[in-house]
Amino acid sequence: MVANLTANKEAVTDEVLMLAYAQGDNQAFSQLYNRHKGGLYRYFVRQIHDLQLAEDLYQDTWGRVIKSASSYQASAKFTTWLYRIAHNLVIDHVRSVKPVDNFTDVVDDEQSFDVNDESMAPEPSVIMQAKARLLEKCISLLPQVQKEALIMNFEMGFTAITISEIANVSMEATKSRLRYAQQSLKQCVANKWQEVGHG
Amino acid sequence: MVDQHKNHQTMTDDELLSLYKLQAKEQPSAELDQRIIEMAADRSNNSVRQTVWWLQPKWQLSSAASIALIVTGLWFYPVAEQSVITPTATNDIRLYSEQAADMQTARPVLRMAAVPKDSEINLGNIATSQIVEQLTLLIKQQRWDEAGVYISAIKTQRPELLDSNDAIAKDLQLLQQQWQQHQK
Repeated sequence: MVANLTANKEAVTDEVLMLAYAQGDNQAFSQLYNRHKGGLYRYFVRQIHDLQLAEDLYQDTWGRVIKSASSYQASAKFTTWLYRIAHNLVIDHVRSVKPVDNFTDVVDDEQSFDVNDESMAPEPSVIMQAKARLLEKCISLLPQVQKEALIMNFEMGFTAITISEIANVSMEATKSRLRYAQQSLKQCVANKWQEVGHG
Repeated sequence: MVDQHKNHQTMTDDELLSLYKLQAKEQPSAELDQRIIEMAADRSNNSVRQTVWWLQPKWQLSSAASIALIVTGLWFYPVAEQSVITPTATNDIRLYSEQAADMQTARPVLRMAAVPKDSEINLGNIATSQIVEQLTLLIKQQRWDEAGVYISAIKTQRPELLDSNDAIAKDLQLLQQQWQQHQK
């Protein structure tokens, strides 16, 4: 089945691949998996900093996709469906670990952390790499809802509409989360950059 | 040349995104990939078209019901060894067949009989998010009978999900309303 589809892989939509897999085409699943594995994996590891747990939830997500294959309907965009499953798993996990509502938009206090001072050299690429490391740590400090929205926007390129469908919140709430996340990150990177003597 | 005095607070959104993309791109290990691919292949090989029993074509269930009735009839009214079916037995078989046909027409659903009872659904160990997801799917696919049974099971086995004020309870209540609207 997929043999006919692989000639022009870019033209084959996720929905078509998923329906093909539902009919028993394992190659279609492999193609779909390879297409989305990186983004989905990073979605988990960048939110849940326990690697083993992140991988468990990642595998669980695909497990649910596989189990639901026979009832999948192409009326739902595959990525929205996939990340909705992933989002629900993250929520269940976060709520089970931290019963107090972690889903707020309150900015956490910044923590101090060490940054290797490799950026005295004037090379822009080294400076950018150093800032990228700072950014990674700043992202880990974001409130859960902002972090998730940001990762979906930056990593997967999802629009605010798609993110709001996945997270089951209004578009205004999503836009607000993205805005606050970006503001917080810019501030955080700037502050940390100054702390290491580059202000 | 890097402007050391650049005010980093004026970093644009695009610059922030560029910085983000400089991060290492984590990928799942080959072992993890293989596990998932095998999981998919297992499901596919075991039964591509394995569906829950109540989704099989209705005519198979009705035929099975008819045969069961005929066999039951023959059991209570055994046929003589050398004889072909006697008129009496024939009448009985016809009667049972008619009854079976009546059942099919009077009850527009063997379909109702085919939908599981809520006691057959065990929600005890199911994650809340999965319950919401499953009911959402049933409503979206307009599988109203099954949705009704599922809602009944939630009320019986997980009533706390409907009683609280959190987002999940509101989702479930909304789905229940959609189902109720369809019942009208």
